[in-house]
Amino acid sequence: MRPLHLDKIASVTRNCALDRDVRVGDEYPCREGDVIAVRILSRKGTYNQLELVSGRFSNLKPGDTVAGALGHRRALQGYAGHIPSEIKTGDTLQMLNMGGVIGVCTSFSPEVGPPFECEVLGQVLSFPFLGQRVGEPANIGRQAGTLREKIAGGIPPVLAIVGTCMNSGKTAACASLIQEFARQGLQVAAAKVTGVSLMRDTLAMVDAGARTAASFTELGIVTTQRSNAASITRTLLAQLAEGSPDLIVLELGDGLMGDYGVDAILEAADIKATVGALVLAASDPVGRGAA
Amino acid sequence: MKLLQDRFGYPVAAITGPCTDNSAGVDNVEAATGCVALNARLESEALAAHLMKTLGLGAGVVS
Repeated sequence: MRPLHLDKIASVTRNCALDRDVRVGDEYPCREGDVIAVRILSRKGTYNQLELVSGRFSNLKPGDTVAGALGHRRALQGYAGHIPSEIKTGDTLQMLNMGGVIGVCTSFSPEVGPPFECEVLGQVLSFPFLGQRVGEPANIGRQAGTLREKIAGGIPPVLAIVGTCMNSGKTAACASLIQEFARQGLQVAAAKVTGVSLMRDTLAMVDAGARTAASFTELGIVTTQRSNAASITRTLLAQLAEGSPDLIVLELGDGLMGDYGVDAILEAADIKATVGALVLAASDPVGRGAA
Repeated sequence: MKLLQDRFGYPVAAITGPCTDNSAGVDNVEAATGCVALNARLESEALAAHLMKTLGLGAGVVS
């Protein structure tokens, strides 16, 4: 165990409320959500920012020490990558998204170029109990509750926004509609229920006028998938309904045919029973027709 | 729309996104699908009003 100063703390780690000065170790459980410290090795001209825990974006440069979290990504217009089965201090991994998700990149879109190369500096440790001298691997899901397998009662009307793909206008539509609903005097709650951890979209929902906005990251999930997307949605619906909003707006991140579990949510009959309207965001006419 | 309706059984209340960025797209979408096509950035008031009606939420409702 040794001390390490972090230059930047990625938004994906926000559940851990890390300090700039952390302690790291050399044992890596290699689980989704494990918080690791890395040093940026490469330089990028595009897609070169990191979303911080504040929600602000900061340019990454070689030498920056960053805390991020292990996770996978399957983004057509970004990176595809997975969590490594083992890690040693000094290994090289890649930054898979702007939220600080770290893993092994297996493919990238020419639009974003090769990802940042990162040298692993250590497994960030947490000390959850007073007086604890031996740290445990920090993980963004440590304090997350159990996901719900059944829909709760008392869910207000739900508007679901789905897209043909990433960057098909879902978040812009959510924000624009939330603003209009709020102007009509409605209390709106919102959530992003699928995708890879990034605060930007839920912050946009709040900025547009949502009383509250939540995402799967608060539930300890880095990247949604078919196996957990419906349970995440049920859990977020229940949490948002506790505030008695007039309306819940759900953004289903990525596209209908992506790997983040949008299809599992749409297949769930109990979730479908709560959805009063569904809007399709489409990039082009063919996509609109096929979706 | 075909996937949403045939596989998942969801009616589509409205179509938005870049395919509705101008009248060429809107006309194409509405002619091909019969579905309401409104751009969320340019026609947000009309889209919100349409969806509030679909959701059974009256305009001007204050809780």
